Amino acid sequence: MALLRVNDLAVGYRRGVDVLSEVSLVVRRGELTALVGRNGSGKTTLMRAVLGLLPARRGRMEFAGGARPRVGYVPQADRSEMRFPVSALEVVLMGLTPGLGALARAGASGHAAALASLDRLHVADLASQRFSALSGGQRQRVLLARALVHEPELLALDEPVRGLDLPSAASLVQLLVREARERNVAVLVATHTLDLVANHADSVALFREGRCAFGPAREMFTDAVLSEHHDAPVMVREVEGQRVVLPGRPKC
Amino acid sequence: MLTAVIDMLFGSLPGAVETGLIAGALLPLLGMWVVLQRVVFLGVTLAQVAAAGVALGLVLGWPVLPLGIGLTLAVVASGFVGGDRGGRWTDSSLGALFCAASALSLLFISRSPAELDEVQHVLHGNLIFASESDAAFLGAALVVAVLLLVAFFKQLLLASFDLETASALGLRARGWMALLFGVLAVVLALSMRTTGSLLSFAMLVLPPLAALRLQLGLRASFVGASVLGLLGTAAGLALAFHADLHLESSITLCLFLLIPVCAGWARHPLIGVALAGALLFGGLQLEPIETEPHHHHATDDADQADRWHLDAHLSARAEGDALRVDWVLDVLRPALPGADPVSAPQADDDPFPASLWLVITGDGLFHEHELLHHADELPRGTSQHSGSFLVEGAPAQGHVDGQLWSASMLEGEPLAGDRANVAGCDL
Repeated sequence: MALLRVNDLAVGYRRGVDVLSEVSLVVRRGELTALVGRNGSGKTTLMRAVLGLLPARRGRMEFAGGARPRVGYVPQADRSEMRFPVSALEVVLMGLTPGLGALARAGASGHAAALASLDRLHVADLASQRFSALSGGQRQRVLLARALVHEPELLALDEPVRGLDLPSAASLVQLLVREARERNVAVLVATHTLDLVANHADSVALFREGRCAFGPAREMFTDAVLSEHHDAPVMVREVEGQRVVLPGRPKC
Repeated sequence: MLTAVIDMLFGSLPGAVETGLIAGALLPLLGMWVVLQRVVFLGVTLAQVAAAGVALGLVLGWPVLPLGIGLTLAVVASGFVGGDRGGRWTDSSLGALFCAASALSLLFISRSPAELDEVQHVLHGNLIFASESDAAFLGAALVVAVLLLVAFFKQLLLASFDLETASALGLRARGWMALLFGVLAVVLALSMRTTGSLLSFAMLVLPPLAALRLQLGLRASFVGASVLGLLGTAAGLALAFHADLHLESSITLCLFLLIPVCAGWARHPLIGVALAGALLFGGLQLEPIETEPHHHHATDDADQADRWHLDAHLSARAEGDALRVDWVLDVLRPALPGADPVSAPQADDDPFPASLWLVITGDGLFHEHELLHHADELPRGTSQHSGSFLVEGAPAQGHVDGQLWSASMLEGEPLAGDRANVAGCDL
């Protein structure tokens, strides 16, 4: 079921210059939608627009039911301030802040929810550890626990596997798929790591020069489509039942 | 001994000590946010902007407080206009603002009728002149500011930690940042005329930097910064009184020394204790340097060495319909050669006044007040005395001059200008 429909959207930062235009896509509950493209192609810009951080200049974004859904967000890894002497649990508790009254505190139920969220991501044992002392993979899981603590309907992640080693990255993507399937969450991931989403994404939006091609993953992960969007030969092959994306031989 | 030190401090300059301790304990609670967000330069820039506002007030003859607050709030507001960074100024923009604010404060002061003392007060503070009502006013403002920041701690934490996520989750992150920096701007402007830009900035950032070295948790770091600010300020006050040093500089230095002490403590508590002990020992070794008052240049140096001198500084401000005059008197009574410096009788040919009176004059103002009774019983060497008094029906603005007398005007005589200097002040 569609949670968000984007129709002919145009957004930008500077007056008169659109970073994205004529973007159309659908984000569905229970599915993983990947925003894929080269650096600077507009993936993060679209995510910022979906999150309400950038206003639409033209076009429409329609959420199911008309109201903005509960959102969980995991920003790029370098966005969090590492100087803060906060524990992993305190970081997760931050996710409850917008839902509390102005002067209310999280209380015992909030702490229990935060611990449960950490446990869901298998990092409950890190609750009392300082956030800045964790490894990159552990920090990403804690940030994901923060995003999930208030049971979001839309989970948005910006480059969630950047800087992670391969096992950590694969494990994180599997966690996202599980959240989407088991809790009927719409997961929106912006990434330029094709291999990891090639086997897990349900839908893919390919970004190139401010435009976007959108479709089911099986139709988008083909030699022809990927080569066209990367301006270079790209091959998609199957190895032991898994899609693998490889750079092709350039034409001489 | 501690009681004696506190009695000595509170007994001689209660306003300065109370104001210093209140600001030392509470400013770090605001400063921790500045340090954690890596906008430390914002603290010194806002302090300098507040100084420029105060200086502008001196030029125009307008109330300095609203101008100082208005200018700092305008700078804070500028950080929230035309961008999506939520008031996260860049180092370069803060550097440019700091340069402009410093230049403007000096330019304004050069065009103002203020005396050099007033300039020094604006730029470096005049904690020594702070009255108990100053302490109460600043304390009340700081308590309100801290209560606001405590009440909205969770919103400020999320917005400070990750502004983009806070906005994405529906928090009015830029509004919370505006509240934080607005409160900071008002507090800095309010503290400017008592603690000055240097000390305000030092109290804002040095205790938090020291507390973060201790590797405590989040809330413990805030509490630690406040406790360290209090301790550092108390140490600075004690050092200044013990060794007769410049008050604001002594406090700033002690606050700075908290950083290596806390860094040492983090490596091993014994290292921190040893460092603190060494610094305490070094501080106790410092002795007052007896300097001749700067107005002695007119007479022969050899003759000067045997003569007593008085140096008074005045500060005056309107208090309702009356005029509040704060005074500080530096007394130099040289020891007699070969005599007990304390109990030796004074030389007959150079008698020290039996009492000291201050006669102040201004536009339509004439008033006399006894500063010290039995002044001839003061110990030899240097000593400092202070106090304040109220003059009813005084003018609301203008310039006040003072002259030291050996008794009231009916019985005594004015003390010669090369023996007794009084710096006047503007209202």
